[in-house]
Amino acid sequence: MAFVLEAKNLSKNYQDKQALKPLNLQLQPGEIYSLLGPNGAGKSTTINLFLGFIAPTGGMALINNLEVAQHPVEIKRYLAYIPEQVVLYPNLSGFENLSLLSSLAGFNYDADLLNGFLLRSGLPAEAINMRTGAYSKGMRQKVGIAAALAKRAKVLLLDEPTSGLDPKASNEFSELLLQLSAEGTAVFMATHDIFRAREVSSRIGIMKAGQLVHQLSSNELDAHQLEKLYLNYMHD
Amino acid sequence: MIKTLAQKELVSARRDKRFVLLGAIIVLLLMVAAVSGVVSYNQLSAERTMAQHAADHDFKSQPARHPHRMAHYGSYAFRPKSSLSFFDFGLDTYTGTMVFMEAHQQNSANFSAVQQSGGLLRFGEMTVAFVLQWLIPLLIIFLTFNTFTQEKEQETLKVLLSQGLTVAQIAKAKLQGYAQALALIIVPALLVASLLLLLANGLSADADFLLRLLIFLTAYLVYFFIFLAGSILISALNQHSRSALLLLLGIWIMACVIMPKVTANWGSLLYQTPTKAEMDATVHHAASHGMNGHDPQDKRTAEFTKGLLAKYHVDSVSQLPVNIDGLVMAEGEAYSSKVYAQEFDKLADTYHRQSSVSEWAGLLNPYLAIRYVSMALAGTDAAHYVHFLKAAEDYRYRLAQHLNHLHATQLHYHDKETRLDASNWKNYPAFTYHEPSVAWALGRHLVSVVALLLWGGLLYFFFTRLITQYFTL
Amino acid sequence: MKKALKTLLYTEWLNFKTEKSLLLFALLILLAGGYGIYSGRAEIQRQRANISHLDTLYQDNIAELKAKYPDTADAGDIGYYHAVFATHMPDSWAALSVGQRDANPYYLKLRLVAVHNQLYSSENTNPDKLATGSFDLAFVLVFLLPLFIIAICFNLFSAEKERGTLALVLSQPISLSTFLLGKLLFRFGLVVLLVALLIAAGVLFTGAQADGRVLIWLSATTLYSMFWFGVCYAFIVLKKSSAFNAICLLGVWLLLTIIAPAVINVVSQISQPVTEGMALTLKQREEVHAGWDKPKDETFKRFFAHYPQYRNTSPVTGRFAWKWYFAFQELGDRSVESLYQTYLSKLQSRAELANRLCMVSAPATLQVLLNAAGGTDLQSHLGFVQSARQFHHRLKAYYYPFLFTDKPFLHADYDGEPRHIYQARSDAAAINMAMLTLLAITIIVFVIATIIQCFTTSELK
Repeated sequence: MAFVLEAKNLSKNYQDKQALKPLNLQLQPGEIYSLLGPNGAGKSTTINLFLGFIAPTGGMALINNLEVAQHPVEIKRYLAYIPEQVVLYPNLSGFENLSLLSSLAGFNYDADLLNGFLLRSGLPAEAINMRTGAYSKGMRQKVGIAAALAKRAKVLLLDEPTSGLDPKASNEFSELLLQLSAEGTAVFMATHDIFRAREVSSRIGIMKAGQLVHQLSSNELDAHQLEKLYLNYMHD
Repeated sequence: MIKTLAQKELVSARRDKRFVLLGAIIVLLLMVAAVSGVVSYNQLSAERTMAQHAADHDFKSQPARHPHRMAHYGSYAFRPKSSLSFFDFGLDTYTGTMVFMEAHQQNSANFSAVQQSGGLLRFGEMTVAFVLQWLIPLLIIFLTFNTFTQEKEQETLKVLLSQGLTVAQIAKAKLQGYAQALALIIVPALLVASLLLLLANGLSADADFLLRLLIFLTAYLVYFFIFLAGSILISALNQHSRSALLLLLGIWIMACVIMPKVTANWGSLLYQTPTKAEMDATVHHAASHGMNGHDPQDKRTAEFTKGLLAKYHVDSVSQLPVNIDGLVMAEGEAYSSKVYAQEFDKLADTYHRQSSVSEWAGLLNPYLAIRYVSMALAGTDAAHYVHFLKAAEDYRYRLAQHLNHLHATQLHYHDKETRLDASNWKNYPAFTYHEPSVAWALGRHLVSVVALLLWGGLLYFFFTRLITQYFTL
Repeated sequence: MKKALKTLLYTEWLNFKTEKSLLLFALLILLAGGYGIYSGRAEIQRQRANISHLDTLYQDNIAELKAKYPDTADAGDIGYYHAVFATHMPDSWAALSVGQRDANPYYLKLRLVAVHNQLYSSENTNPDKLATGSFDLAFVLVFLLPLFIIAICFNLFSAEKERGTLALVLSQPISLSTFLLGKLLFRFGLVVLLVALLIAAGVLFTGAQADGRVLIWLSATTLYSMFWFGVCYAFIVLKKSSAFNAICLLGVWLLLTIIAPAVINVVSQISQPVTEGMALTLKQREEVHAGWDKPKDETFKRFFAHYPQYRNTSPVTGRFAWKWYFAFQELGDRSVESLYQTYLSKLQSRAELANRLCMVSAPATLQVLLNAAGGTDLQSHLGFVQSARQFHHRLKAYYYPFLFTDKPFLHADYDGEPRHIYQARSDAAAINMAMLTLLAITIIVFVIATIIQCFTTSELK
């Protein structure tokens, strides 16, 4: 019963379209779960359901044993979310954005701690007090990571976290995920990056047309076999 | 090629729910304005015609009287509603409708609607002109603000450009397409409104009236073109729909809401209007002391008497073949009217200068330009009002002098008893007012006419050039 | 929740400091308010100056008459040639809401002759200026403040959504309503602050009396701001695009500030036509001029019925005597009295109808309230005209003894002549009524907004 993220027959319909067919899934602390699948397979829908941004048609999403739909605010204490495009308030500095987000999450960090989170997420020290309007995509994402770090969340939800990052930044990001996982944070991410997924995940799910069609643990296959498997599913 | 594209804009505008809904609202408001305009036009017209007839009847049915009694009994002039006034009430609500015309005294025009209403009137009036001047530009803005920006955001513009089209061609096509779409709403609505106007006018239309109507409609078409071309231009020069919309709405608020008030207030702060009491005192002073201050009334009368005695070779006024009482009064009336006319012209000039701040601002703001052109054509501007007041003053003067003439020729010196026959007033022509011609009307507002044409012309000739020069993807 | 709110407010403050458009709008509204205060003050100052200049005209007129009648005069000549002024003094708050003071005459030139056609004379005013209206502080608050509120609120939610900042913020443990509340509260605070600043500046600069009306202005404009925040909120919770909100909110603004008042006005004018004004002027002329032809005995008989104290004064034998002239002038006035009362009551009921209908429009209601507070509404003008009529009675009471007891009018007698100043006052009943209306419509708007919120999806994507 120590699941920090759980889906029980979770489904979502839009009018006549089934965006997510009933999904069952559990994540334990420290697990890294990657959801693979083409555009429109239902990956983002799943993440939005866990965030409570959309309401499920059937079943339930649970975070830390709390039903998301019932406790839309409460569950956000336990999760951190990094969208594909981290968009910050462009007129505020990275520091100010982080300060806003973490104090909304209910933490009172002093400046040193906040700076520490930003540095740990890999943001260059000289960028901390610059307005984020001038940041690159990678830098903005690092502020998003810092916000997740600062929140000491039990679950990290990631939507295409490495898309658009250069290989170095992407690699640093993987390192960070492994560290967080070692500290007990469960990570749930939607991604297209098969190789990165294979590298960091403990489990991998493949989604197609709203359905979870295959699950495997990452040590079952190497990256090439995984790609073959993935493409097989996509063909038929 | 442009035709195909224009067709595409027209079709997509017609399928746009926004356009259909807003268009319907505007046509509805236009109809409400036209109908309520006709109703109040008929009501006010009937009221004034009846009052004028009653006043004329009263005058004509006076019994035998001493002529000077009749001079004080006086007559009334009611300002008739001009036939186009229901399109644009203009200043009618704020101008007096009834002038009492008596000897020796010029009275103000009283009973304006604004004096008989609460503060609500000041919010504006629901007239055809309001819909045309305020709402249709808004419709144009809503319709076109994202015509370029959306294509930029969705990148369809790149596709079009890659087909070998130039930005100028696309812009022209948009202009044509939207103009056609707008015409679908506006033209039938204006035709119906014009028909209502003709019906309200009893289907009798002279050339001047038709010319006014024609120029009225044309002026508005120019005005709409200015907004349409301007709005498309701004959409082309902006990167985001949001910023284009905000800019356009800001311009609209500035042009229609804020600037007219600022310029009108500024004008009245710059040029001070003399109060009626002050003006009366000035006229009185100038009439009794002479316009130059060294020619008092007594002296003028004495000289006039001396001249008269010499002319008729007699020694005393009682020997004159004419009644000097009437002649002296006629002299006094002529003199004081001259003084009054001079002061009135100064006042009218003050009004004109106050308003000219707004008229010149029309060079910056087409709303102000169309406002004056529209009022001029509807016959509801300050110039027409002043024209009416002058006509009334003219009638007053002639009537007073006619009665003085009777006094001088038919009565004996110092005779206060004799009554002249009733036929004398019965046959005197009643006050009738003739509206000035359309050329006169527009001549008072050349600045506004030029401003409107300049805006239209500049946008017409430089539209594609501006877009080509400043467009960025 | 409390802490989150504080954080949100602080963030908004940081954003406000750096966001140029918000600052620009705030600056614009301050600028417009400043100009409104200035030009309202200039307008009322000019009226005051004109009123005080009337005294010069009055003294000149007396000097002229003294020269014309160097020793004694027949009071009839004085009554006929001498003009006195009834004046309508603006209240100290008039400059902030000029209201109808520019359209209605603020003084009346009165002679002893029949009063009725002296009551409706109008002042020299440029109709063009009247049609455009005054740019006073009331205009800024009634018309421009809502536009300011719309400008800072229309994309309060949609901009965050369209930009993408919403996702990260809402993955924090705060609810959407807390988030919106924080943003709205900040803006509301800003608006109230700006309005309070403008009102304070207005009071200081125009010399408005710092009495209970400061509170009335403040609470009315705060309620009014709340009303517009409510309207904005109703559209925000629909969670549509920024463009949709901008278009709809501007549409609501047009509907409430221009179309609704204009329609109310048309309705009240068409349904309550007031033609008695013209009719009574025409009738009075008939009555007064018929006086010349009626037998003097009959005229006096009717006159003495109202003034028995002059019954035994010397009879008029000649062709003309001033007392006879003024007697039939007064009878002319009395003959149209009932028509005049109808005229007044029709004006009143038209104004009342308009005031009752104006509850559909918060801007109209606020304008009614501000005009009532400054004594610049139609009511105040009607009060002035009423008081001018009483003044005319006082004039008659002063001159009739001279006329009827054949007492010569001496130079010293000019000093005893009654003078008139009517001090405009605020109308508490109208203020209370308008304030209650504002409160009611604000509550209604919030109820509607809440209902809309309940019926819109809570989903964000």
